[in-house]
Amino acid sequence: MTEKNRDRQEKEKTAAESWTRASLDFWEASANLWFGAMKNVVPQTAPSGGGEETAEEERKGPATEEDLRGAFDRFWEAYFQGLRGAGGEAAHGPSGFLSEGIVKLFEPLWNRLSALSRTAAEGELEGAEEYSKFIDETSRVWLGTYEEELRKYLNMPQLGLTRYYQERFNKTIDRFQVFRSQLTDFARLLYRPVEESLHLMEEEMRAGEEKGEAVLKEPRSWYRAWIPKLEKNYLEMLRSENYIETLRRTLSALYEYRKVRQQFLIDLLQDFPIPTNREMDEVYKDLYLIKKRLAKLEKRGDGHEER
Amino acid sequence: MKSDKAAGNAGKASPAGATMDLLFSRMALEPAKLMERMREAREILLGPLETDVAKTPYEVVYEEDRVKLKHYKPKEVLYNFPLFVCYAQVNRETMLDLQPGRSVVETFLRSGLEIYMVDWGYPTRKDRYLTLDDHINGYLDNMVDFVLKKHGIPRLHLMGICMGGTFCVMYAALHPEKVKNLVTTVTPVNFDTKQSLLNVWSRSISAADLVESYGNVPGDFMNLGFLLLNPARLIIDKYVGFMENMHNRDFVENFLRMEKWIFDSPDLPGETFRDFIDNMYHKNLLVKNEFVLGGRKVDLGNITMPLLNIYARYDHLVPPEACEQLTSKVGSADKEDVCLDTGHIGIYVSSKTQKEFGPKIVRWLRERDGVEKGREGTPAKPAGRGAAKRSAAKGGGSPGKKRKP
Repeated sequence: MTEKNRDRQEKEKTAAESWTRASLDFWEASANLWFGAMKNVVPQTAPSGGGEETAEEERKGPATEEDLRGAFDRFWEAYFQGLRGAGGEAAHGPSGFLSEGIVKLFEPLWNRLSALSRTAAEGELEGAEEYSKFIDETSRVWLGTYEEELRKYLNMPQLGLTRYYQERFNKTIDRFQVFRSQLTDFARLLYRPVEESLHLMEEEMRAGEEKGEAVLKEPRSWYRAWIPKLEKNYLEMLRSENYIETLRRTLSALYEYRKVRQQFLIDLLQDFPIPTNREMDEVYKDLYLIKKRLAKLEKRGDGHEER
Repeated sequence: MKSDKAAGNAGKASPAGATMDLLFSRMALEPAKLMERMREAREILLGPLETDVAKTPYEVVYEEDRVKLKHYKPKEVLYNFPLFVCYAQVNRETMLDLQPGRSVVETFLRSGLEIYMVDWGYPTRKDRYLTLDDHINGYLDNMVDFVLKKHGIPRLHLMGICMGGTFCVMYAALHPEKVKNLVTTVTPVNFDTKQSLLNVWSRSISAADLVESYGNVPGDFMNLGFLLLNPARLIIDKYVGFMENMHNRDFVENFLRMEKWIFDSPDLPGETFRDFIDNMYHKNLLVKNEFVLGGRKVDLGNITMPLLNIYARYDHLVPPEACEQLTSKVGSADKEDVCLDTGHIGIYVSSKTQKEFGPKIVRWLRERDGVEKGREGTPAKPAGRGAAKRSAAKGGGSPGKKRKP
């Protein structure tokens, strides 16, 4: 196992442990609080074995609106306490689940982005190529981080009655993220020939000026000189393996997103008197097959008639 | 100095920024001229414009589901057999009748040729399961039968356009007895070419996934693909050209007609698209004589009628390499390839090819329109009862009617 893999596994382990610990703490705190709140909210009917508490409880009577509000306030308090860390660790810095998790998740992104920003600030990025590399790298960092870190949380197994609904919702969010990233990649690739051809024009004009040659003063002449360059750049790029692969990935991501979104919409629509595409497709398929069968029978009937 | 410095700084962040600065600063030199042109353009764009397409009168003589058959009748019919035109399922057949003076339909009618033209309509989700077989052995065959019955003839002239040409090639191979002469225009039969980006890209497209996620393939999805074949010309230069000519009414009207046609893009039935991409673009089965349609092998050798194959030298969608193999694969003794110096759409609409394309087809058909003894006199097998019921024919036609030679 390489050093890099070990590091990665270690990070994943720590992130997973943080998540588990924080989840357990949160649910425990929530449960305690809920039962505590219930004690205040629900009138105690069971005899408690002595006479001393009854006077107090009788005086209190059934739960009031204020009691309910208090219970909810305390519930949310416990919720946020759970997010900060079960032992009220918020005061000791960002060691709770949420902050810790986010730091871990975004750490590689921050590191790489800040390194790139430093390079840019130091003026090392010159020209279209370097700038484009910078943008490429930024996008790759985000996509890599999302796929390696954030995505796992969306694909986490769900529990209980609503598990399938939650899974479909999470999947929709996940596939949308992937599609959005791919689309950004695709759009950036499409812009690259523009950037490169403009850069080429700029260089030609500067070179011309330095030599004392007449530069393109008329916008129309400038445009006429630029558009063939742009076209050439595009035609080269559109045939490249890189473009074809990016196109393929973008389309795959689009199809995947549309498929899971469809499933999610079916969940949403089931309570409304609106047929879903799946339902309509079933009807259309039946209709198609019936019409086909009918056409065959009609042709057979014609044959009999002619005979 | 200031602007140079600014351009230099901008150049570090983005060369595009610096170049655009420079361009706009130059443009600022002629604001008066620009304003004058804008005033003229405003008058034209806000006033009445004649931008209708497909103005030649026709009658719908057959309807089946979304599909219609248009009938164009010349003042005097001078041919023994009518011409049946099958357009592609991408975009609309109105392209053949874009405007008076630039209309293939007009050229045919002037020569005395009677035309039947397929209008595939606008597929809805209901049509997603329709296959190539349903279109070729179903709709197309029903319409051909209808015309044969209407005229009392056994065969007709068949002409196909682009994907519609591929349909006609398949049809002619499966039903050669119904086709007197075959005219294919910018018709792909060989899909194993790298001349067109469409062929290159299609190999990386999963038609099954696309159809599963969309049902039908949206027309706009395909249009975006066509625009991306040459973004510099089709997304930028074309509209710069428009901006430069907005003060010219004729230019604006012609431009808008074409714009209307280009973006009038019906969706493509999902299963038809899947059939076409998988069997043609991925496996190239047609030209190999390995394609099976409706349980029958499509053998190009069965095409024995005269064949005229027209294509365009600068076609970026269906390049010559995709078209020119057809003549060597068919069984016809009378066959001809014609390559015109134009592009995929230009072949039908450019003013230059109006003098070449339509007239060539008219001449070629006239030479092959004769009635063969003992063959053409036989009345056509009547079209199926179902087809007759589905028909919305007005007038019905007159079987055995004597037609002017």
